[in-house]
Amino acid sequence: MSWLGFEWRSRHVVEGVLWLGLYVALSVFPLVLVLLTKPEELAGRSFWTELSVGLGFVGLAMMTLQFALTARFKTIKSPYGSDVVYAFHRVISLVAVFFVILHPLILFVERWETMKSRPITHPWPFWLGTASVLCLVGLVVVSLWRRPLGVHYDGWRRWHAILASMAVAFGVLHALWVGHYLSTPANRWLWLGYTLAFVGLIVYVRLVKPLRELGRPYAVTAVIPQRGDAWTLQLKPIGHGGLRFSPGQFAWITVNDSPFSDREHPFSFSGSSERAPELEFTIKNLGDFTSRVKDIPVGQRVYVDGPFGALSADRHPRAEGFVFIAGGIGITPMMSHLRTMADRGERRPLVLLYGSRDEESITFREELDELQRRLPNLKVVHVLSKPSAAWQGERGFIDREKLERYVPKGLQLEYFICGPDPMMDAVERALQEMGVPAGDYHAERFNLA
Amino acid sequence: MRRHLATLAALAVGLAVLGVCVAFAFLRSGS
Repeated sequence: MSWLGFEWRSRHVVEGVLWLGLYVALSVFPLVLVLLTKPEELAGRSFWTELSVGLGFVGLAMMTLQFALTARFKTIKSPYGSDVVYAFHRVISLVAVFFVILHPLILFVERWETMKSRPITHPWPFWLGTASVLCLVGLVVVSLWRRPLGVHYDGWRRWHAILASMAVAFGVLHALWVGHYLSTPANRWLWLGYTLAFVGLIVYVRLVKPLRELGRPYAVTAVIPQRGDAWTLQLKPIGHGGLRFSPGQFAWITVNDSPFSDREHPFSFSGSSERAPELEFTIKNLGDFTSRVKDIPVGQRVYVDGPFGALSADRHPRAEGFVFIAGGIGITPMMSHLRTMADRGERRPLVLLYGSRDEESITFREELDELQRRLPNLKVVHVLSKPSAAWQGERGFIDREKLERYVPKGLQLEYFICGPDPMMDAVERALQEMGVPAGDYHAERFNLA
Repeated sequence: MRRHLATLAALAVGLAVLGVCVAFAFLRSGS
């Protein structure tokens, strides 16, 4: 690993630790403020009551912070990649929900005897808290088991946003109504700040961003069928300069006359970043929205929010070569790389290992042949799992043996992987076994739920 | 790999926050 590469990675480690520190600080700040302001009228409560209250406050603060994590701020996402931020979001949300559920559970267990003989004296805070917890439970169940429950992606995204907003709103109202630790002005101001930040983030995501996109529409200029039941959408900006992206990045696109629609989907750019402002996205028919791409009329308005993602060779200018490993429609970020590199006259060694089902499902097959002519140091290896008897090339799956056979030796290479989850798991394992340092291979996954 | 690190980071943050909650409960209750 080069010294510069090491420096680049250490900088991101330091940044990561600082982001995590900020997350912890914002989560526990309500408790620190209570300790500093010392509301004396509540002195003398038991350890378990205080722990329960502490968990409730912290859980609520962590839930509020989820809105900042998922608001697609490029400063948070660009160093790590969106899938890393979403992986963190998924686990930290479960931790926050666990804390929130512990809050009433500890109180119930501790006060069971008195609660049995006495009706609930403050029914509104109780019901608000219960509503918040129920929203959270619904949120977790639908997110973890979206597919088995048969919930469509668009519906899930809408309900995810609604339930999360309701959970936080009910939770804040519950805390305000109970009021104990919010009786001091400092604590009230703090929670007013958290609430304003929460409302502000919703306004930013649902109103400010779409308003900004409204002035930057794109139009569909062509819808081109590809092999493998995929379709390429070509877009051009209307009345503005468009955006710049690096190969391998992706954007959220809204195919609608209004950018306020919440039906937006993440897709990798498949075109060359040197051909901006024209954009291309190649989308495989996987059901839902993707099955309707072929019916999108030329001239249709589209809104593009991006670029996002860290899966780009442009972040590794000192690499001595690149290995691209794709499965199925995971070819799109690799196509963006190869087209861009061809436009730039790239001379470093490049290998593409591309897994498909059969000859007919190799998306971009003819163009990949053409790219081998434009890029003299590119080697394309097709690996087919169910080829015809006449197929002369590689068969089976991309495995360690094939990687060892085709990857050039003695070079500092960077590896990019994109495809179905089992394929990515298998390739990452094979690279580990081959002794490739974890920092030298890069993958982004888009299974958000 | 990076996603595993993100998961570990989230669990570490959860533990740190839980630690602060326990310290808070000790300090407030005087136990």
